[in-house]
Parts: sequence; structure tokens; C-alpha cells
Amino acid sequence: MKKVLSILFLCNSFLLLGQKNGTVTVNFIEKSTKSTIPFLKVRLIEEGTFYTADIKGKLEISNLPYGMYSVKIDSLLYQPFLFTFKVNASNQNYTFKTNRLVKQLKEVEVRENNNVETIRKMRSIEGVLISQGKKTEVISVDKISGSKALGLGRQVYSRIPGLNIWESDGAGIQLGIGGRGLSPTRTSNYNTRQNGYDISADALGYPESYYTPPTEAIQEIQLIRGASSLQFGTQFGGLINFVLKKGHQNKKVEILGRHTVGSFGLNSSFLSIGGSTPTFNYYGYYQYKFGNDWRPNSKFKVHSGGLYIYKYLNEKFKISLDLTKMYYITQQPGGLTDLQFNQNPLQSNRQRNWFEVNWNLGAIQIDYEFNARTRLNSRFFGLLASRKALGFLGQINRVDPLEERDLISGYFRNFGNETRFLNVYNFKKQTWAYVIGFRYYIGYNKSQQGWAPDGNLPIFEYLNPTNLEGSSYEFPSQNVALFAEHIFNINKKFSITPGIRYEIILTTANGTYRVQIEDLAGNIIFDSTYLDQKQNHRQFVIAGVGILYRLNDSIEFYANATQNYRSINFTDMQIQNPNFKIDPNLEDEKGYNSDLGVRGKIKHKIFYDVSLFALYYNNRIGTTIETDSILYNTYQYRTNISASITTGIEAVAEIQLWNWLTNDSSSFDLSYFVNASYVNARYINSKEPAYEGKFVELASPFNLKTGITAKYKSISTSIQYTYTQQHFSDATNSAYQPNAVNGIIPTYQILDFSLNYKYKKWLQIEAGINNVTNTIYFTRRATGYPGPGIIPASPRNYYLTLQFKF
Amino acid sequence: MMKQSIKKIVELMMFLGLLIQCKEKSPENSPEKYDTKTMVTSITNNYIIPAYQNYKTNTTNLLDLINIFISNPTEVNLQNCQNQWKSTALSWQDVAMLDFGPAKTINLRAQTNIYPVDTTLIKSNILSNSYDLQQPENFDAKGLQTLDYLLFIPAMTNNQIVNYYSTNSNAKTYLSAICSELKSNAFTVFNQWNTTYKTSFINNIESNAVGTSVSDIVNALSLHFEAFVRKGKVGIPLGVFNGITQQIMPGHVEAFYSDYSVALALRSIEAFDNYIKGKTYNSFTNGEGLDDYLNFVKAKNNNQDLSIVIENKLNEIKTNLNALGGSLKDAITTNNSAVQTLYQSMQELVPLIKVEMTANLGVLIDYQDSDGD
Repeated sequence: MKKVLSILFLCNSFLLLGQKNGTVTVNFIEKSTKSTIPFLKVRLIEEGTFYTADIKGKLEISNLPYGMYSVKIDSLLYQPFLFTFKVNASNQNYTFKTNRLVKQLKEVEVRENNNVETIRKMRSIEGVLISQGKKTEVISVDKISGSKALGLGRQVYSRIPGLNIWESDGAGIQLGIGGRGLSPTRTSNYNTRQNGYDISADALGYPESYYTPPTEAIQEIQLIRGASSLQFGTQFGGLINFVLKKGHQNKKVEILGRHTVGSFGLNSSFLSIGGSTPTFNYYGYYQYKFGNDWRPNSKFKVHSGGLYIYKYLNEKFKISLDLTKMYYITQQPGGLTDLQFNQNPLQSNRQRNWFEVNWNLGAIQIDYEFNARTRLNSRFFGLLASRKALGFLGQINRVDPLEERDLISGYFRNFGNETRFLNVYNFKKQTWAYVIGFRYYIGYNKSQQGWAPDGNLPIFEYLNPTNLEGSSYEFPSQNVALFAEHIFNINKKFSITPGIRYEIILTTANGTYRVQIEDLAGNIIFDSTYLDQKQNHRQFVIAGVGILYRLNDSIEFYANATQNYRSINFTDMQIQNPNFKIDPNLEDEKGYNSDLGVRGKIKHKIFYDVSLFALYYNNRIGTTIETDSILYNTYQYRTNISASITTGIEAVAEIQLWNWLTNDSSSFDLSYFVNASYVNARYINSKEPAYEGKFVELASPFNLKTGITAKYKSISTSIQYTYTQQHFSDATNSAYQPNAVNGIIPTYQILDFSLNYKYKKWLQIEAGINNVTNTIYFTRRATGYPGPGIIPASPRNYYLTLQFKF
Repeated sequence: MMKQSIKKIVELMMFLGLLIQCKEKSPENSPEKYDTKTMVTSITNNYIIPAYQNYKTNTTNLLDLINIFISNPTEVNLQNCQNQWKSTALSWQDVAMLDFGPAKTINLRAQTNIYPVDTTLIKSNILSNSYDLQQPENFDAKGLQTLDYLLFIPAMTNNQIVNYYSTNSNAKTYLSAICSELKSNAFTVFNQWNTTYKTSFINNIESNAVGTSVSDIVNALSLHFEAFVRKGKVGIPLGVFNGITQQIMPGHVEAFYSDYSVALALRSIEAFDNYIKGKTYNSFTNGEGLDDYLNFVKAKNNNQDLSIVIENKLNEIKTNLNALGGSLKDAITTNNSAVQTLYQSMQELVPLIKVEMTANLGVLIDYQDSDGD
């Protein structure tokens, strides 16, 4: 078009030979500022050509034949005015004024790289936590398949390799997971925290997690294997940190209501309200769950609630308050012998056993950001809790004599502070970072055992509270720790992260125990109360180092070796009869954890993490029988008796199959994950000959979880397969015992199916079938509660959830 | 301290490389290398089953004689019952330490031999003639020790005892009920052993872990000696378990009324000796037994074979029993130091079995109390 016009123009100019031409100088001015507009681009309409003004906003066009012209502003920054001018002299000046173009853009939200996968690794620095070179996993809870109301361990932790998961109740009340051959009992081999502070009964002396937050209130679950010991302290398994949900970032109020119904009378209601303003964020929830489970005598009722708020006092200073409460009461159906389990796994032979837990947690956190590279975090936390176990504890192959029941009660009152300082700085051309911190903790536990009324009712009261038939102990404890870890980035690819921790622990036991000696007919011939007092004070240093090598964006190699310890528990310090002695030099259990692995994300479509690990667990506390060399009587002697070595492979991969094969993830999505582990754990150097060389209990040699999730528009469906190979439940590797307390836990395979439908933004329906094939299996045998004996796992069960969001 | 930590880390790195475990080769004489199947088979066929058979025969004879006495209460018939009772009580000592398998399932020891008996309860049971012998509260009003009371009623001559029964049919019924139960329990246990349990017991020898036959044998042996022989027969009556007072309780001896305690205790020790040596029950030929197992693993105590030390200790206990003068309850009052000597020798045997035998055979004592929660 331009060409035609120019030719026409030329023709015109030929025809108009003798036509006069002029030069025009145009100045462009911005109206509001009255300043010139340098390099303004304009278009001369008649010519169809573009001109650019000079630095002074001046444009000179020469050889213009006399006539009318129009020039239009052609700039993103200025209003596209059209100016007309006349050329009827040899030199003319014009000044045109325009204004800036202000365009209101639509609001754009910049979010972090949103993972499609359920699992990711932790960033090198998250908050005040350094995870460089460690084996880490983070589970995005809203992406897991399965019922969040039930929170089944095998579904929530489906992407975490090497976990032995106990399923003792079908409502997700008690979490029992253990990794690398460590016992899953109440997750006591992990340092369990929520939002960074301890939630177990006593982090050192009674690390049993009777409380874990309801899955529906969790945003993500962070796991760091053994190498977490430097920043977090005790437990060989590592750290589990439940990061709870926060109020919606962009809304003042968001209400979420969920109701779940399931098999065996399960009803679970969850209500949360959360929201935020630019400086204030709040999230509160309440959950009420009740049901019957799949065996008689197993009613339960759970209330949990929490309030979590934080406020920015100024842009550097944030203060937050966490309040959590959980109360539950459950009836315990008791264990079964192997014979009873094979005849009818749904039976119950105990009608009088009950369990009650009351958990109150509070925490105040202060975060101060000096600048983007330096921050301080201090958290004050406290726990007031109780746990009561009532019932007949005798062997399951004996009939309940329907006499007085045993009541074991524990009260916990703890308070502590952890303060961390993180600094990121440059050294030569690399970025280095370090965290230093300290911990101060005061614990108090009161533990009592005695008789409670007979009958079936949940009466958690002692018959003789001032003269208990069992024992009454107080365990005041104190703990101080100092720690530091430093990331040295040697070059862009390679980094080394050493760390060190200095720990001082004082555990005290103070109490009485009552001894009643009976003759062979059961008549009491001696009844006396003994006093006992013990103190164990120790200090030690543990250290570790991690290495990270980033080959490229999709592959990184990591390795670490860290010392671990497990503190002496309160029960280790307690004796129940005079034929029991405790080694006065009893030591904490110590050892090493080491990983060597490769992980990465290939093109945002494949996430993988494969590693070898070795865990050396020394000084395992146990009991041997010793002889008094003068009196020749025998006594049980609690001391450090064995060591064990666990080695294995942990591998997990999650693949966005459809996206990877077709490069398209518009409306259809297919993702696949596989999680496999091999574990070999043996006792070595045992003072108890019956354990020497035996397999460590509760370490399943092969564990596999795999599943597929298909998503089309707003419907998604998942299938998950779980396989756990048979393993022993005691250190002598007993195959069978008539009272079923020890024995083999047979191989089991389970299939789960779930469905999820989202309608607009406000309605979501979840449904599913757990244990589709109705496999009959059990995951644990108990020596005491909730058994003793075999604890059967759930048969096929269904659930349906309705969720409303406003 | 830093150097030590670094050294430890280097050690660990090296250890990381040794991910393939070397399993130590177990030495030639480790417990796993022994032919436990032969030993368990020998003990089962040559001792356990014949011993139960003998006990069963005795309970059968006892019931027969009791029934004769009931239909015709005479002194001669009473004496026959008393003698047969002694024979039955002696044969019970031979099987009392076999508390595993069928015996444990029906709690045979508690059903058979609880003492001291509750004489008030016995009398009220007889008076009311309504009782359920299966209930735990009747365990000390039945069994061999109750028969001891009923056949050797204190402060009565045999003539007076005969008169008592002639005129008290409830008492006769009670006698018969107790003996029937003793016999039927003996039959139950023997039959199970002789048919199904024998095979599974002989084959449960994969290891010495909790729940295996060797573990059961050793645990039951240790528990019976510690709690029922040392403590039950001697310790409690001697007052050892009475705390500071050490008050003697001669009324707590076994077979108090017939004063047969020493004989029963001697038989018990002999049974231990034969059992540990793997002797055939009837002919006493020495077969494969725990002593051979201990010798195989070269178990030693102060440079002596543990099996010999145990044998010597058992002989020492026998000597001390024989030095009591025939009556344990009298010796406790009149010859207390002899009983103390006896108790001391019994106490010295306990660690030989409970600590040393178990350690050498890789067996775990599983009957100690553990914490509940």
C-alpha cells in the first residue's frame, strides 16, 4: 500500500512539476509537565512514513509539497493524537502537545513455582531452616489422593519411601510411622513439630506423639531425614514438621466447611475460617469426628481445634500466636491371638479398655527481618497435656477376669524456647549462609499407675489415689542446646554444609513404687512402698556434614553424614520392682545417619529422588538379667545393650505422564508415582545373646507404594497400591507366640481408590474406597496398649466428603 | 573435640562405602549349629510324653481309689487313697516344669497344685455343695493340695477322717469332683501331646527365638524353678519374701497336711536332673538333653562345664533337703539354719539357668514383667 502511495505521490509530484516544496519543523511537548518528548515516534499519514523526533523532541520534515498534512503519534507511552498542519511556506514551525498514556493494567499475581507434584524437596533455606545437602521431602497435602478426613498414613505419606506405617484406627487419630527400620510407635522416632515447635509429650523423655494435627488443617508436611539432628536435636528418624494452613492471602474471610461420612458410622465435620489483610492473617478450625471403627468395642470421639494468627507490626517485624487443642476418647477393642485373627479378625475380646487424651499447645513466634538476607526467629512454646489408659492389660489368650482395671496416667507440662538467627552473605563471588541457634526447654511429667474401678465404664479415676498399687513418678527435666550450620558454596555447582550441636540434658526421676508379693495362691504376703530417686546429667557434641553437587537443572547429587542421638526416656529411668536396677551410667542412644543420593526435576514433569542410606544405631537401651555376685539373686538390669546397622535404598519418582508424552496439560492430566525401598537391618554387638545377629524388628525388607492419578477438567481419580513385606516384631525374631505379642507380621497388599470432583470454586466432592479388595491383614502386634496381641487393620471401607468454600 | 568429630565423620564416610554388610561367620559351636531337632525329639518322646502318661495313670488310679473309698469309707481304703495321693503328687513333680503347649493353654499348674489352700473356702464349698471349680477363686480350693487337706484332715486320726466322710456326702462329692477334674485335665494334656502337639513341637526348631520349642523348654524350666520350687516350696515359708520382718510362714509349705513337703521337693529336684540330662523317663538311659546342648556350645562357669556345675548344684540341693530331718515345716521352726542353707543353694542355681543357660543358648527370658503402655 505504501509503495503504491509513494508511486502515486511521485507521479503526482511529476505531474505537479513546478509545485513548490517546504520544510516543516514540529516540536512535541508533554502538556502536563511542559517538557519536550525526546524520540517520540509519529506517522505522517499522507506519506505513510514514520518519523522519530530527536533528543529535543524536535522533528524536521523537508521537501514537503505545499498542502494539508496530518501527523499521528505512534507511541505506547503517549496519547495517539492526530495533528493537522498546512505547508504553504518554505519554512514553518509547529508545536503539538500531547499527554502520557496511563493504562490501568489488570492485577497480576506473582506466585512461586507451583508444583504439580504431590512431593518436592525442601529449598536450601526455608525460613530459618537450612536443608542443603540433606535428604528432604515435602508433601503438599491438598494434592494427596484419599480421604483427608481419615488421613490414612499410607495415603498421606504415599510418596515417602521406606516408611513402616501402623494402622491401628481407621479415623487417623493416632499417627504411627517409622522409617529405616525404626519403630513406628506413636511416631516416637521422629522429632515431631507443627509450625516449627514441638508437639510430642516430651521431646526428649517421652517423644510419643499422641497428637498430630488433623490432615484437613495441614498445608504441607516437611520431612528431613536423620541429618536434621543438628538443628533439631533428638530422634534417629529425623524431623517431621506439619506446616498448618494459613488464612487466604487475598481474602478477608474464607469459610470452608466439610462433612465426611464413612463406613462403620464415621462422621467427621470440619469447619475453618481464615483470611487476611495486608498485615494480619488468621486461620481457625474446628473438627469433630466420631464413629465406631470396624470392630465392636471401638467407639471414638475426637474434638480438635486451633487458632493461628500472625500480624506484621511493621514490615520487618512479625508476631504470631498459635493455639491448639485436641481431646479424644476411644474405646480399645484389644488384641487378638493368631488363632482368633484367622478365625474372625473382626472380633473383640475386651469390653472394658479405654483411652483418653487431652492436648493443649500454645506458641508465640517472633520473626524479625533485618533485611532480605538476615532474619531472626524466636519461638516460645508450651504444652499442657494428659494421657490416660484404662483397662485390663493381661495377655489376650486369657479371659478378662473382670476385676479392677489398671489405669496408667501421664501429665505433661512443658515450656521452651528456640531462637535462630539466619544470615546470607557474599564471600568472593559466592553466596554463603549460616544459621545459629539455641534451645532451652523445661519439661515436667507425672506418671502414675494404679487400680481403677472394675466395670465397663470409662472412669479414669484411681481407687486409692494416695496409695497407688503401682507407682507414682515425677520427671522434671531440663535441656539446653546450641547449634550452628553453615552453607559453603564452593562454586556454582558444589557446596558443603557442615554443622554442629552442643547438647546438655538433665533427666530426673523422683517417685515411689509399690511392691506387693503374693504367695502361689495369690494372697498378698508383703506390701510395701519404695522410694526412688535418680538423676542423669550429660552433655555432648554431635556434628555432621552435607555435600551437594548440582550437575544441572535436572540433576543434583547429595550426600551427608550426621551424628544422631535418642535421649533416655522417662520409662528408662523408672523401676517397678526391687528386682530391677538401672545402670547409673546409662547413656543416650547414639549413632550415625548417612545418605548418598541423586534427585531432581526433569522439565517440571518428572520428580525423582533415589538414595542409599546407612544408619548405625548404637547404645540401644534394653534389659538384661544380671546376677548379684554375693547374694546370687538375679535382677533385671537396664543398660545400653546392643547396636544395629541398617542399610538400604529409598527411591521415589513422580511423573506427569500425559504432559511428558504429549506436552499438553490443558484439560487432561495423567500422573504416576512409584515409591520403593529396600531395608536391611541387623543387630550387632549385643550384650543379650538372644539378639545377636538377628534382624531388627519392625523393619520391612521391601516396601512399595505406587499409584496413578487421572484428571479431566474438574474430575480426578486415583488408584494406589501398597505392598509391605513380612517382618518380625521382636528382636529375637520370634515366629509365633501363643499370646500373639511377638511373631511375624505377614506380607500385606492393599488397593485404594479415590475420586474428586470440583464444581466451580465453592463445591468439592470427594469419595473413595479404601482396601478395595477387602484384604484381611494387620500391621502391628502390641505388648501393651492398644492390645496386647494382634491389632487387626481395617477391612474395605467407603467415604464420601462434601466441601463448601466461600 | 573438633578433631574427634572430624575423625568420626571420616570413619563414617569409610563406613558408608561398606554398605554391603559382612555377616560374621558364626563359630563352629554356636547355638545355631546344634541339632536341636534331635534333642527336642528325644526330650518329647523319651521324657515329656511318658511323664504325662505316668501322671495321667496316677490320676486315674487316684480317682478309682477315691470312688472305692466313697462307696465304702474304711481306714484301709483311706490309706490306699493317701498313698495313691502321694504317688500322684510325686508324679506331678515330674511334669510340673513343662508349662508350655497344652499345659499352658489350660493353665494346668494353677488348676492342679495351688497352695496354701483356702480351708475356709473348701469348707464352705462342701457345705453349700454349689461351686464351679473352673472359676479362678476356686483354684486354691481344688487340686492336689486341697486333696492333701481333705485326705489328711488336721487334728483328726484316720478313724476320725473315715467317720467324717461316712456322714458327709457333700464332702464325698467334693472329693470325687476334684479327682475327676485332675484326671480329665491330665487326659486333655496327655492326649494333645500324644497326637497333634508332638509334631508341631518337634518341628518348631527354626531358631531359639521367643515362641520356639527350645525357648519354651528353657523359659518354663527357669520359671518353675525360680518361682515354684525355690520361692514356692522353700522361700515363702522361710519368710524370705516378707520384707524386713522375714516372718516365717511354715503353713505355706507344699503338702502341709501330710507333711510330705521334703519328699515332693526331692522328687522335683530329681526330675530337674533327669530332664536336663535328657534321660528316658522310665529306664533313665541318658539321651540327648539340655546338658548336651550346653556342652556343644562349650558353656562354662568358672572354667568348669556349665552342665556339670548345674548337676553339682542340684546334688547339693538334694543333700541339703536330706539334711532337714524329713519335715520342712518343722525344720523351718526348729532347724532354721538348715533351711537357710537349703534356700541359699537353691538361690545359687537360679542364675545358672536364668542367666547362664539362656545366654549360652541364645534364649530370651520372656516371663519378666514389662511396662504396660
